[in-house]
Amino acid sequence: MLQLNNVCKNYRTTEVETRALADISFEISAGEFVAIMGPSGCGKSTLLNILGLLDQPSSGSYRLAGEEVAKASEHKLTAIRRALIGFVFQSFNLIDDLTVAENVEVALIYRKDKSRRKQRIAEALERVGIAHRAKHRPQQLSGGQQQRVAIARALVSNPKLILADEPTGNLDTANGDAVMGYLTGAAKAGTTVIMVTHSLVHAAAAQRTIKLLDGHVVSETKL
Amino acid sequence: MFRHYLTSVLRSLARNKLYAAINIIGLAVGFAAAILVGLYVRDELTYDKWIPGAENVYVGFIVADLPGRPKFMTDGLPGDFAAALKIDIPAIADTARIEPAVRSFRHGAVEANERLYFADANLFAILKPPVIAGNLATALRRPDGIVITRKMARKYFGSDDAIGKTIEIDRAHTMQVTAVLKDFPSNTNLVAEIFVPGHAVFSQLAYEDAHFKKEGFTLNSSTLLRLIPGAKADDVARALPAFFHCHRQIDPDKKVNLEIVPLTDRHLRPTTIGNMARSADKSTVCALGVIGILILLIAIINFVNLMTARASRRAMEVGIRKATGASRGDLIVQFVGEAMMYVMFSMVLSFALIELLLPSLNAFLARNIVFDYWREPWMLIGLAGLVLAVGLVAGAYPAFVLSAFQPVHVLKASMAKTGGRHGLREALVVLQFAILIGLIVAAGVVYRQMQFAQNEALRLDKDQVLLVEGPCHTALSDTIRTLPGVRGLVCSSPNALNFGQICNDARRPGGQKTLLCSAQVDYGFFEFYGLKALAGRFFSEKHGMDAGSNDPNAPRQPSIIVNESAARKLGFASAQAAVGKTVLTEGPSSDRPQSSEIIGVVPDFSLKSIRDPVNATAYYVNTNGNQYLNVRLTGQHVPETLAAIDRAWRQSGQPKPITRKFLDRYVQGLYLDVIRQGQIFALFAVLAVLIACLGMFGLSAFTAEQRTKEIGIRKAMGAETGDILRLLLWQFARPVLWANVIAWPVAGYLMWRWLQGFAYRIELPLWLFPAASVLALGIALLTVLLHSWLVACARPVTALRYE
Ligand SMILES: Nc1ncnc2c1ncn2[C@@H]1O[C@H](COP(=O)(O)OP(=O)(O)O)[C@@H](O)[C@H]1O
Ligand SMILES: [Mg+2]
Repeated sequence: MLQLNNVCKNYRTTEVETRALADISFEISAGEFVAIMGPSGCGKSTLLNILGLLDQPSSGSYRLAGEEVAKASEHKLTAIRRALIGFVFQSFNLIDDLTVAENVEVALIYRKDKSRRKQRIAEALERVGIAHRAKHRPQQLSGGQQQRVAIARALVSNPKLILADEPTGNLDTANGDAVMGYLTGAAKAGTTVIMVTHSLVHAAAAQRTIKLLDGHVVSETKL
Repeated sequence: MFRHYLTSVLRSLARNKLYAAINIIGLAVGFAAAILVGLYVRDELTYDKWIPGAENVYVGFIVADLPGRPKFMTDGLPGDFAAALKIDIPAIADTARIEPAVRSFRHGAVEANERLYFADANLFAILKPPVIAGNLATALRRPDGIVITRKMARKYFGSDDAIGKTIEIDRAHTMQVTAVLKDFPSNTNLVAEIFVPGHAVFSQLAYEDAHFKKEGFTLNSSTLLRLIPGAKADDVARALPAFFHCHRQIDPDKKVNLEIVPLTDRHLRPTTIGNMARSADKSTVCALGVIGILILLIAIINFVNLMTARASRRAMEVGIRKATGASRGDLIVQFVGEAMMYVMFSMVLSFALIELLLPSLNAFLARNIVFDYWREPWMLIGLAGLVLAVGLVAGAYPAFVLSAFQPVHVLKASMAKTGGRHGLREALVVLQFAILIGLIVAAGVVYRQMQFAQNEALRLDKDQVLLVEGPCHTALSDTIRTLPGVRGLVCSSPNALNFGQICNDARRPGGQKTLLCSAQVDYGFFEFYGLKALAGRFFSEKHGMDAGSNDPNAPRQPSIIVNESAARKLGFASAQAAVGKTVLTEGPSSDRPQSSEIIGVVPDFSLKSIRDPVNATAYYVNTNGNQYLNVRLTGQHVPETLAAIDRAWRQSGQPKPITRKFLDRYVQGLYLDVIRQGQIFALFAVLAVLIACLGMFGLSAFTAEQRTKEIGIRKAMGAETGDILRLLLWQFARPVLWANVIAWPVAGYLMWRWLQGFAYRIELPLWLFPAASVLALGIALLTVLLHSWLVACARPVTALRYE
């Protein structure tokens, strides 16, 4: 599915240059469920953003679905994102002005995917058990409910790759477990899932764990 | 506490320089524009109020509303009324007449034609303008006394000290300066700065008094009246119909009325002709005032929008301040105080702008308006009130809405923070753009009408035409004709170009009577101005008899050429039908109507304002007694040619200095009010665009920033730069489109009404409406493009990280 080779990412501010990722190389095959772990500030989000084409590496190569994308154009990146990727964020990142259903719809409108749109949104909301709140605004929901909406949004377009950055970080245990359930379900159905987490229990649900420290891969564990 | 607020405002200014600059400059421009308009409108409304006691001075008016004729209003009264009014109506304490004229003045090497007023000796007992030297009470008693303003004193004597010095009128009459007046400000009804006793031998007043005819209606002089203390204008008004009937046998129920108007109201009274300064159109003055208010409104809307937009960004600050113990009152004081301080900065800046712009405005309007705010406590109080009001409005939203938030909500950052849900702000932007589009439409309509007035409506080829007041068929005219820079020369009476008119009743044999004006021209007059006959032919020497004969028993009638209006009013079905027909004209002198034959019909043309219809006119040919030289220059070496004409004038021994004017400049002068209106509308439209752009720019920076997170999410979901750009631009395009719903009907109706004031007018140009909208939309989108483009292009991760 995807393959990283010597990927580096540097952040340059006026005074200091931070190396957020140093020589990262690994491969993830289609349908895998991978957890990324590590202490705060070690570069997990940076890695996930690069994997999700929200950001580009400073150097190295990144092949996604057989294509080299490390130096691809913005236009190309957008096209691949549309076709392949769904996101779940720690802070939910729902659009405040849109209703729950409209938030889920956002994942479809840019895919120019018009077929059965209403029905697919309803199904996605049903799957995460939030269908009764379809007309509500994000502000009117609890954190757990908001994250379910975010997952519905990630699932609705049937992406090949789901990237989740600490999806349970802001949730209590019960809601966290529910979210893990949906992600595991997606992985079982054949979607590649890459998830950042601090919880060993949740990491245990994955088939493989990548540990980061100061921008380096320190270990890979396969279950 | 106050120090704390002040430092917090200054810091926020320093921190948000662009934002603060946009906010303050936008409002300052609005203030400056509104204050300038206010000063101008006040100038229009305070004519002659600077003359002490002017509020007790009245001007006689005659208003005639006769069926079938345009309404006629003048500040001229028959010359005998002044004395009679004083005798007949006890409430009138004193009266005096003034009559304008143009004469040449000479002192040493300085000589020029000047406007002057012949005035009754007691004029300055009624009107008391501030005097620098001399005694006004006696200044006009001696027939060779003359009263001038300081400007004239400096022009002719090189100093203010002119008392006792002499000046020659028409190179014949030596006058002695008896008083020097302070210079007149521009807001005066008086058109001359020289006053000559009416009982001087060469005075027109004296001439008219000597040739007075009781039944005549000579309206060359104006009568000023002062009432006895305690008397009311109404007392006089009640007595006037009886007076009018007694002296001119005008029935009280007739449509001709005698009225008195306060001198200080005279400027806004419409007058067809008059002896004082041209009246201003009241509705135009009102329109300008309204535009000033609209500009101010746009600027205030901007300011309020930007202030509130920024305030919602400060929800966090409010939360923290509240958490640390600030009361609601503290926060209200802080926000309102901060807004107030911004408004104050703007006001100060606007004062500087006004100082900078007022000289140009004065030059443009030919005024001398001053902005001495430190001498005018009321103006200062008003402006302070404005600062307070705008500051309150702009501070109110953040003050009352934000300070009411529970800190916990704010700190949890769960506030609605994206665009779209700001009904009030969007409504204000709609209003702002409605005003903007309306102003663009107005400027366009006025501009088109102005073009029309100076070109199509004129019908005359006015290119390079110089008019010289002087005798025809003399050595002088022959010399000018042969100058190298002159293409042609033709003579006419002043009437042919509407500098004066003589009208009499006329009819076809057996037809209805109608008013027909007559004008005398020379051969080749119509050809000179590029006019084409609609039917028949023009005058020609080949026809020999066109000029008629002085012998009343001559067999042939003189030929006339009538204009289209005359042909229609005389009852001819077409121009062709009129040719060869006979017209009977009743002259005032002869008992027998004069009969003439129509040989041709010309299109209506006029140099009079397009506000009035062209007179039905018959043109006669006569080679004698024409007093106007119409000279067409080649357009090359114009200054040299003018100098040569002046030289020829002097060498021919004319008794006066030359009076010459370019026709196109004269026409411009006629339509100066329309031209100025057009320019003012255009100026204000540009100002409105400028202020609105500043506002849009600020608002778009704010919105783009505010929607950053949303944009990041959308991009993560696969939105492209183009999608995001469309989203943001549409947010700004929507209010502009809504603005059309307001702007089109309102501007359309108002401009239609405005055009109705012209006898000759363009059709309302409908294409202007969509054009103005497209222009406004384009401007709006261009201003917001920068910020929108920047956010739309950013990598999604930057946007998402923003949280
Ligand atoms: N935009 C940025 N500019 C500068 N440094 C950054 C930026 N984003 C992240 N970093 C730095 O990169 C490192 C990795 O950050 P991040 O990937 O967010 O860590 P994690 O998600 O593992 O907590 C940190 O040291 C962080 O300070
Ligand atoms: Mg992180």
